[in-house]
Amino acid sequence: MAARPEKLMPEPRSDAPDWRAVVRQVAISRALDDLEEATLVPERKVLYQFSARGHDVTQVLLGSYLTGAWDAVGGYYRSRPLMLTLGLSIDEALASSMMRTGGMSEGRDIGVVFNLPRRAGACALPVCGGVGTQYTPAVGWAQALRYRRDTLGESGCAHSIAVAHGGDASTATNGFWAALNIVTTERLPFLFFIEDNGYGISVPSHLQTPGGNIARNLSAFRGLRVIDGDGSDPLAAARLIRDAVALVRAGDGPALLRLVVPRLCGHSGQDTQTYKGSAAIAAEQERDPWRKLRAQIVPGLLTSEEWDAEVARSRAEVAMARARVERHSAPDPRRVKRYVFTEFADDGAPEVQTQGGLWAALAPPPAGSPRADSQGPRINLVTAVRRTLEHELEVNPRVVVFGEDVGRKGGVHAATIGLQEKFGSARVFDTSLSEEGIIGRAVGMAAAGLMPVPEIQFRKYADPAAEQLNDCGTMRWRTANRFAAPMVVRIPGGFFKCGDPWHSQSNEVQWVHGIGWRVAMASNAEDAVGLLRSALRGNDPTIFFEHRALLDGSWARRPYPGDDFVVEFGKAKLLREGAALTVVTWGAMVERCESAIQRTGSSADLLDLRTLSPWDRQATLASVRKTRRCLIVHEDTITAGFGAEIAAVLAKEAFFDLDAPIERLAMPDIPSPHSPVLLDAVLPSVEKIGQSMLDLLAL
Amino acid sequence: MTMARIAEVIAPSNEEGTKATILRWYKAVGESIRKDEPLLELETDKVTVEIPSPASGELCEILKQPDDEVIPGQVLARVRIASPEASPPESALPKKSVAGDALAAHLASAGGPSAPGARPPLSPAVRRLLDQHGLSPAAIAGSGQGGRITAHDIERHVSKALATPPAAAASRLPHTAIRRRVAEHMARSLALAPHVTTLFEADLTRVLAHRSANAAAFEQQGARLTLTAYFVAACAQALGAHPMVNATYHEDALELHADANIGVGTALGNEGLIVPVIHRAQALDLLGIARRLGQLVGAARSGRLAPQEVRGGTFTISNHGVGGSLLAAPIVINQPQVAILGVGKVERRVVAFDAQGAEAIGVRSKCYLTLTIDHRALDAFQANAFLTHVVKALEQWT
Repeated sequence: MAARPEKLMPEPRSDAPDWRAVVRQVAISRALDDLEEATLVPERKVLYQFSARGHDVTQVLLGSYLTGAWDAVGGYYRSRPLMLTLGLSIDEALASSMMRTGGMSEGRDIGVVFNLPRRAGACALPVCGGVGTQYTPAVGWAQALRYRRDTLGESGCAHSIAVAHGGDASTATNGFWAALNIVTTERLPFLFFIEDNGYGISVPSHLQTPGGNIARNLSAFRGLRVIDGDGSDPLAAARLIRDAVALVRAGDGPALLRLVVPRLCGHSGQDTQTYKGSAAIAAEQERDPWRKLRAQIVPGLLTSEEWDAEVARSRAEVAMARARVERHSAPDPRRVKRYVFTEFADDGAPEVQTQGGLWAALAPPPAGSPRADSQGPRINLVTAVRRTLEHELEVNPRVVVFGEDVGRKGGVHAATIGLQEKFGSARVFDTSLSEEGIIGRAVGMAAAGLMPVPEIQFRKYADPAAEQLNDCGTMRWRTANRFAAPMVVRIPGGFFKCGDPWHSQSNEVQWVHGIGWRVAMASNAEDAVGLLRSALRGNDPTIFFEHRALLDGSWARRPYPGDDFVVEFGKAKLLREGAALTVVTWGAMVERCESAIQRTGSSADLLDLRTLSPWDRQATLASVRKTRRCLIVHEDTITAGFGAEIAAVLAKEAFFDLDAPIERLAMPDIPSPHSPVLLDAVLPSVEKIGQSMLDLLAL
Repeated sequence: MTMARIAEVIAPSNEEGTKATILRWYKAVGESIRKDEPLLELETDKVTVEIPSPASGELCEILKQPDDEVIPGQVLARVRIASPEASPPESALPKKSVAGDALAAHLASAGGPSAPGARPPLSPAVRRLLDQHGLSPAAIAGSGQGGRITAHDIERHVSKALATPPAAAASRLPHTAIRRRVAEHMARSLALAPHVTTLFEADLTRVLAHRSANAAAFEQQGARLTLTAYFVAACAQALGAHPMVNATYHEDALELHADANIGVGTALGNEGLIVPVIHRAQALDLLGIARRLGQLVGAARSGRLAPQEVRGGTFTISNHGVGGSLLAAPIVINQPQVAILGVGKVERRVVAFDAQGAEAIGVRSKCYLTLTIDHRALDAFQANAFLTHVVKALEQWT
């Protein structure tokens, strides 16, 4: 990867920008836009192309004020001028859009999906393709700044801020509103930097917000300082930007700065803008801030020769960078599957991401022990979870626990009772009712070196967070291990004394199929402790499923296995041994399978998988090769439930060992029914499981 | 009454003043329990609460039943505290379930005649095993559903083929009931009684002369006169004079029998050995003995002996010499008797004797007599005395 050059923006003296540097930076950006549009796209060396013409001057100005040691930006696909100002090199920018090695993603992502791990100043949080996803992660960063300053005592974070950079259409997204609520209720050091070009691709801004002016509409929003201005007037815009940043740095809460700019290009290289009339396009060209800038500072602050020289130099730099990048190799297909999860070198040392999580910020915490040190009476699973959270909060000051109702109430499932009282509301806190916000800010916190433990109150309510969850999972892969966001997402779900489509969903397979998530499905209190601790000390994002029927279920109770106990992911537990059948299961079905084996007297191996991502293929295959028959039992609906994956693997890897078809027992393809009469009829019961076993054995 | 220490199980205080009722007991009175092991469950409005045992020992009293309401501080149960040794923790190993019995039962019940014409398909495991062992499906009986060949069927077939020995190896003869009885009796007798044997020789000249002279007359009276009859008669006499040899050994006493019920070991060829008994032989003369002996042996050979004809013997004669044996020792005592006489083959032997003061050599018909005694009951003194009497009776026959 090309070394990042010295930051182009030195500390501003007084409050005026270094206009020469501004000119140079904008010229670079424009030269890149021109090169891609005119040459690289026609040569098919750049396939997805996004210019930033018209947005560039104000972005460069913004970048020049982001001099806080721990500033961060959540950007979007048109943020390249900002990124260049923060330290993205031309080589890196081109290598990214030309899909070569030496870029930001080793060819795995589009060139304008930026990520800039922090070196000696501001960083850029990994951009995502989905519009609106940049907001709540930046909020998480802002909250982490306050946490590190106030709770961890890191004075270096004081006066740093988070900036979310988005277009006018993005203010209609869920993420924007979640972020707005959070930064104002929490009074966070956060700046919304909205560049309003009047279009979301072709959709005009009056369809995003009434009157097309988000600033005016938010002017009465409590706790938000709103600034509105003309982004095509560089001198005026520079003052507004300076003031907005200073306002937020002062620590009195968030601000929103809206600058109107022209989009002097299509949405992307593909967009021909036929929806704008030629008059509109001409009017936009008139508002080009680049032209305005020249008019404003030449000859007053820069001579015409100096201006031209900077422009020429910039173009030459871009041309030379292009020549260098043309010699970069194409990415190696043999490496394309790497970096979904943390990888380890041959000597066992982890290849830690450049930024994100404890392992990158400090060091891996103590690994813990697989040996249980069980003392005292049995406790139920929810108590086991609470005790584990409590201990990890105690020994790791970067752990934070949050979600709806987890603070004062102690959680609707009682999993966090007493924790806020003990650790304070900076560490254990309630959130607004936005799952997108909960997970989004966990992403930002993780990027800032914390270990966030967000709770999704019920499995089904993860739906609004699906985008943030997916993007978190893919982060390591699409940034080629530059960024990762380890976190533990606690999700209660599954049936309880009754079912229903909202509180009893299981659907854990969604996160197994999703990229980059580890998935834990403890069947008992001891495994819950071990898996939760393993996740809290780990380096990969984890879904920790808390089955509602197991929280206080009698069978699931175990003595507390100790403050050191961890369970390795991908290791099944053999609960019973037999000769004639393999039963593979997890979660609330483990107890039922055990009862069925006992009642039928079947000679069966009973494997509790405990984790589905990764899952213990080796133990499962070894067992099936021995017994030749397999029954898979899970609560999740049958079609494409995780049992289908297991069956497919067995059918391939153990084909010649099978003496009976692989059987799966699961809920039918319906949501969970509310009436217990209906629920009991559709859940795999001990009787049904037992009958399945007998049928298989009789074949 | 022992001074046992008692631990009380106390109802905990309630959260927020909710009511609590007993939901269930995990243990019954009399069962043992370990400290911290779950003892009962209480149900409140909100949650169920598990109460662990305060001590290890025995649950000796339950004071509240399921559905009873409990007040904080109430005594719910009492545990008699055990001695300091804690019971071992429950094994964490996976439990072995009931082994192949369930499987075998299901396989057996599921096996049935296949549908006419249609053979159930071969599974991948079965195909591979057939291939590996070079077997044809036709050679394997299918125990699976519808007559399906299972992998287990092939494995069983293969291991049976390995276990079957080659044709030239030794064959096995199953035991008859008689063989089993004899085996059991012989082993038991030897284990029970210390067997000691004494050896004498009898000159049968006068017995043989008597037999020649009287055989025809006996025959006419329905009695075939054999040498055995003479031995029975001589023994009956000797037993009368030496009652300790006609006895049964008990722990505390020697039971002397009033009658001499003499059993005669009778070979049934390969079928084994049976011992019909001549009851009250002391009351029979030689004719009587010969007649009875003829009846018994005939019945024995045709398998028509009545139960009482083989019971009640007090002494046994084994005529082993009939098969050519000169001498047998020990002879296994017929329990619960204390002695058994073995009669060897009658042979013409060179003897030395005294002829009017000078040593002479002659040839006489002789046989060896062995008496095996139960040395718990008898010593060599009685054994020799008895045998001396028997020999004298035979050698002085008139």
